[in-house]
Amino acid sequence: MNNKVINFLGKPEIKKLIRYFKNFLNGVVGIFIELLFPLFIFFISSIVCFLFFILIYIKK
Amino acid sequence: MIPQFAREDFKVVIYYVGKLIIGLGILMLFPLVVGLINKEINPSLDFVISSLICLSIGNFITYKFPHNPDITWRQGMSIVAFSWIISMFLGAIPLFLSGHYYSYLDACFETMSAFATTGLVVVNDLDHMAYSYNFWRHFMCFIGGQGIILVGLTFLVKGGSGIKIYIGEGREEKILPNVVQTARFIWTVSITYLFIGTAILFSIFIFHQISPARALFHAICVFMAGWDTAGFAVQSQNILYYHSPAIEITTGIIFLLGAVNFGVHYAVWTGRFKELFRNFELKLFFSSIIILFSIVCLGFLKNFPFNNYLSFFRQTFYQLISAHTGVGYTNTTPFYFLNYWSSLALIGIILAMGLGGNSCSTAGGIKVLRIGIFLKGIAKEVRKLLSPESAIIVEKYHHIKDITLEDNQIKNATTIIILYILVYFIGAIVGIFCGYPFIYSLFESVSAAANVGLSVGITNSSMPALLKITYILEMWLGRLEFISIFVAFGFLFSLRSPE
Repeated sequence: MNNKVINFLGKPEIKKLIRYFKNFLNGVVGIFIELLFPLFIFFISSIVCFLFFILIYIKK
Repeated sequence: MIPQFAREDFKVVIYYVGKLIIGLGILMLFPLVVGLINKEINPSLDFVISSLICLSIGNFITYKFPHNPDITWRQGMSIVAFSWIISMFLGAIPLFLSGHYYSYLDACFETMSAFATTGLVVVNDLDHMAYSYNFWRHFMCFIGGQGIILVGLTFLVKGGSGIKIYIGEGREEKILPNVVQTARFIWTVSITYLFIGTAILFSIFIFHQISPARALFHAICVFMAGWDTAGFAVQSQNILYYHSPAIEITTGIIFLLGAVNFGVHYAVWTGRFKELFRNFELKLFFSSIIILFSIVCLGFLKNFPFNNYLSFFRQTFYQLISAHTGVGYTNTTPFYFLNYWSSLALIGIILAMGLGGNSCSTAGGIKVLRIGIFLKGIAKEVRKLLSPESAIIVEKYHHIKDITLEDNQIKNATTIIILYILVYFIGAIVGIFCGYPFIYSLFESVSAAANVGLSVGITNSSMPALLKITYILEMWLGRLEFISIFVAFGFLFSLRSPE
């Protein structure tokens, strides 16, 4: 049974399919991680802005 | 001695420009389809006429001049520069025929603004423009942002000569070994995000009770102009029209991603996730956003025109990242800029515009990587002076791979930085000559040359023709990053007759 599975996975077309799927999965995860980058900038900047807002409020 | 251009060079350049004109004619069929779907008969006819003009000229040129498969570097650079200027003249035809522009110069200005992904507008009565014309404006942003040449490389140019025209379009990095593969990867990223971004924007517009057809049109147009950091909008009030924080956050994410190097996209998409945190240019981009945002915030210490923290953050931060990525989307008005923004806040925005986004992205301006290389060059010199004479100073940085800083890189970066600053100030001087105050002239000039599109109100259809031509040249120079245009001028001046 195990040999059958190994033989099946060893077929060039299946190998190619697995490689495509792996690349696709990498792309999907990559997009999700990329989306975190702008959100991180938004988050840090909102903190910076809040600090300045407090500074302005104190100065008033 | 630099060898002179010969007639043979002229034939090769003209042949490839002809091919790209054919491409432009084919691309005009997209707005034609939009026009037919929306039953816009006259605009559709305008696109038929414009497309036929392009196809006739292009086919005549390619038929008349023989094909030469090999391109030299100088021919490649000239092809790029001439393609852009001719695309402006031809792309402006449907806009001029629309009747929304006072003159052909205005239509050319808007076309160059779209192709160069600047976003400065001189259109009249945009809110009542036909869908097909409006789509063409945004579609030009998408073509220009991807690169007119890149479009040509993907579909029209075959063989190994592509690299010589690819480099000329302001993209120095090859992501994949083959330039056509690189062009296709750039398309893959852009089309993937086109689907994701359009879907998200469409959902938000539907949530804001815009009809589905209109929501889809707005979503596609806003995405195309946002991703390619152009800043055109469907309505005259730009992003302010929607009064929606959700749209502002979504467009913010879109153009921040658009301003990221395609090499970084490639690394992350192929499983090298750490590149996002290790990349020298991205780290510098992040730092400059925080520093420049602090400068903008400091500008409001004395005069604070906002009602609360949220409106303060929304307006200032959106303007800053819009300027820094070169998109030019705005959620405020030029009137607000003129009357409520202090000079310090405006300087923060000008610096952000001038610096620009990441290299090999859709953003314009000097580019953060060049500033980084320049700063590393200074650090190298200082370390050299502090070390013993026999010491060898090596400066390294990580950009996709580990790179050792060479003197040649510092020289190239410094040259481009100086050229950009020169162009910024020349544009500002022309603005002053036309009667505008220095700070506003500088703002508008930097906005044009760095392909941003934010405006303090100088750019409109009634501004002097001299200023319009200056800004067109600035947009052209800024988008192609000088070198190819200088080569093209060299080409024009040294064309010699056959002996």
